[in-house]
Amino acid sequence: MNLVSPQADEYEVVRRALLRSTSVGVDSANVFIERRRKVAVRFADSRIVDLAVSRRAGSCARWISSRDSRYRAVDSIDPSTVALCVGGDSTQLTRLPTSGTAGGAIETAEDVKKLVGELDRAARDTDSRVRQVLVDAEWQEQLVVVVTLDGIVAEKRHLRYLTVRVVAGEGCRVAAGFYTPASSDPSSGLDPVQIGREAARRAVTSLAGWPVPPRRMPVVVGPGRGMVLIHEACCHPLEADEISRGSIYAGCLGQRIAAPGVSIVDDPLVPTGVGTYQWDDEGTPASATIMVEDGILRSYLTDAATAVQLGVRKTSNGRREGFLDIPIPRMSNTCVRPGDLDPEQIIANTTSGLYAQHVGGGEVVEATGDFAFRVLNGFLIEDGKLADPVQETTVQGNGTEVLLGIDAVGNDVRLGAAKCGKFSALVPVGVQGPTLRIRSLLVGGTGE
Amino acid sequence: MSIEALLETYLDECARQGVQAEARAVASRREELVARNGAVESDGVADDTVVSLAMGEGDRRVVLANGVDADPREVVDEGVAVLHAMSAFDGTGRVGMVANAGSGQCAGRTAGSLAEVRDELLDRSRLAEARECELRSTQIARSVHFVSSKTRLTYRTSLASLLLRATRSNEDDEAVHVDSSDSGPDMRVLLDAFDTRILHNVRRQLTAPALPVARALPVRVVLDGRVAAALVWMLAESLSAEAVEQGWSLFQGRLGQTVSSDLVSVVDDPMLAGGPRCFPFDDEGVPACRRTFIDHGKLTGFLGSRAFVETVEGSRPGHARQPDATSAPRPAPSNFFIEPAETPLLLDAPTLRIVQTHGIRLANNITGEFSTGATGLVEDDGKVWRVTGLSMAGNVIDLFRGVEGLGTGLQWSVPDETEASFGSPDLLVRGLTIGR
Repeated sequence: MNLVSPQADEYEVVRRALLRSTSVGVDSANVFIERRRKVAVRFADSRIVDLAVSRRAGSCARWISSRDSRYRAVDSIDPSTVALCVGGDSTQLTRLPTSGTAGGAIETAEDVKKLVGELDRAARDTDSRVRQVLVDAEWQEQLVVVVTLDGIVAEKRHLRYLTVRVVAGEGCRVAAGFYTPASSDPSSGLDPVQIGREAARRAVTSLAGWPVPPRRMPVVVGPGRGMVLIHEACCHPLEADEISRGSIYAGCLGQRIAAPGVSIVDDPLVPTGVGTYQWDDEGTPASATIMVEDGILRSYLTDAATAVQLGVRKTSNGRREGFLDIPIPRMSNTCVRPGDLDPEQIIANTTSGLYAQHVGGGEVVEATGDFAFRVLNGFLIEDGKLADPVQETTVQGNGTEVLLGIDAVGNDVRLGAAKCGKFSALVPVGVQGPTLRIRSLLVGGTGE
Repeated sequence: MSIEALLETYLDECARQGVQAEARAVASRREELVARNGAVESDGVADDTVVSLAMGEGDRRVVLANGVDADPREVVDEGVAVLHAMSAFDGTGRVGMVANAGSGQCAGRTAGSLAEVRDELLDRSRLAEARECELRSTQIARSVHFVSSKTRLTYRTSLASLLLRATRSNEDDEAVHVDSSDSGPDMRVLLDAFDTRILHNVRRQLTAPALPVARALPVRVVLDGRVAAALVWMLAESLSAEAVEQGWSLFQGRLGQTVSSDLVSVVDDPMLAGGPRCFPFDDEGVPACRRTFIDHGKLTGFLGSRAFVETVEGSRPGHARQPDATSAPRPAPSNFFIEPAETPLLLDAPTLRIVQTHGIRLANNITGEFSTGATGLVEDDGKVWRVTGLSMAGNVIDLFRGVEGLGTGLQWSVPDETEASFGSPDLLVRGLTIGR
């Protein structure tokens, strides 16, 4: 896909307007300008159900002080219009017809159709109990320009995100296999056959699942997407807006919050990670932030506003869903550093517990650290071996007990993808890490 | 050029190329104010207009969404090219592109500005019982224009949302946190009901002492209306004609059968007075209509759109919704709720009231299974204790079969990612597995 885009230096007029509009008492200001093209395909019954091509463009100016912030967002990227708006004059909003609005959608649609068709066939060929393959495919290209008081930066970002649900049935029992393969690198291949087979395998495995009884037990979390547990339970409360509201980790810098051997990094530069970018959405150059080092809390994740509020450095975590939303501190790619253990050793050293092989989403209450996350495919562990599969269930607990309760870290790092919602804004996030074991968590099921 | 003229330009261009089309423009203004402990933390305004063009040819459809600055000819050229390319795909989609005839301007509803209630919002973000209190308020006003070969429609709509987040340190210096929200047509309406619909709930949860660990949980369970409303979402997913056609609805083959307790009636009402949503027409230009989908336990129909009228028995058009202006319309609800009772729920025995859940939207809408974290209040003879760290698991079909009583007032859940609102009164239920 090619985006027709204004050159970054066309926005010098916006930068000058921003300088003029920034009064005494304002600590920082920026204008986020984006142009985004998305091709979205819904696929079911082995055919494309519908196809949507969208192109959206707009900008958002924001002024930040230590007390508060204000913003103004408009659906225009025309430099002179944006400059007027930054100057406070939105009565003369004009949106001149732009050329080059079309192009590229057919190639993208054909790419998606080919990939999803192969995925569908692979899933259905895997097992005769597969009844339906549902795929939402999203191919996105976003051109971002950020104007700050000091300069202008620009970047092109890509996202290829599949949400795959395979429905399997046997008699009256129905189960679903869920998989979200994704990449920020348009040249990196998503393997449709592997994806189809894997999603089908997850669905069919779930068919045989038993309800797990609600009780506390050791939980071994699989690599890659399993790090959603760490993302939800431990890292949301480390976002600086939550710190300023009094999250459980407020005032804990330099203190031990995790078991020795546990290191967690937010890294917006992970190749192919869906939370990858060169600049955050406020123009801060991307760099890795060590949040937890060998169990010690080293840094929060900040955006421009919270860095000013808390008097700490910006960590390139100001992210937004689009120009209509303001940036807030968000994770990029949450990376748990590997340990020495083979994952098989971790299972073998667990007398009884739950192996959470594939996980879905999660939720956390940042003020208390209480969280829940969904286990889509899991197995009971009995005498150091994987036993019966369990039905979908939820694991819950408190983030502090998770971090301090990690007693085994594997060496099998994988990368996964998810979408994370916070205050109505959804952003893609990467999760990277190895197999982990947590000493005890509450597994909520309906079993006896 | 006016929005209406722009939409006509799109249609003219489509007609010139011999393609059926409908054009829809949504002009939105969103005002937002985040107040914390009596002071402004963030405020701003966002304006946006999206033009959405649905083009059909044979059994194929493509939706193209752009800003008002796009060149209609280029957009239509691209749409035609995509439609032609789709004809080369194996067994592509199916649509009905025959719009209803009609025209008119419908008032819909309008709302005030947050600026008019700014001081009150700031005042409401202070709470003596809380060490930290944040009030997030949003007011959205929209103007919707719809044009097809037979139809010209214009209406206004609005949505206001409030979220109060309060944290208190209890006697053991542990954090107690409550999120409580409300949604409706206008911020003035929400603020007028603030004390009864938000503040009472928040204060009750913040100040209740912790339930002693040794004390057992009551057997009787009530789902607070807000919690039940989030589960109503799962019903809506399965009542979509699209889910039925694709074979993953929990209600597959159940039309006319009893699917829930006879106390339960499920309704979609796009024009519900005081409801969070107000849609005089659906996104295919079909006039709004209140419909009952589960009538005293019996399944009576499915949420439909034009594409499913002939293929899914029991579905009727009028429920086509674009989740956002950049997506294709598909069957979805508007104000979708369980009818409340006319007399209050009598609770004369110790009761566990589930007041908050964590992860209810992570439930599986294909199997109906859910399993979430939960916070409850134990109510016994006028006394109230708070209990946290619960797990709540079950199946949504079993849950609604096990409804034994209903409250009188509707509470709403308004997910961000849909154009729908889900409502429920308090539900007295059996069959839930509660872990502690």
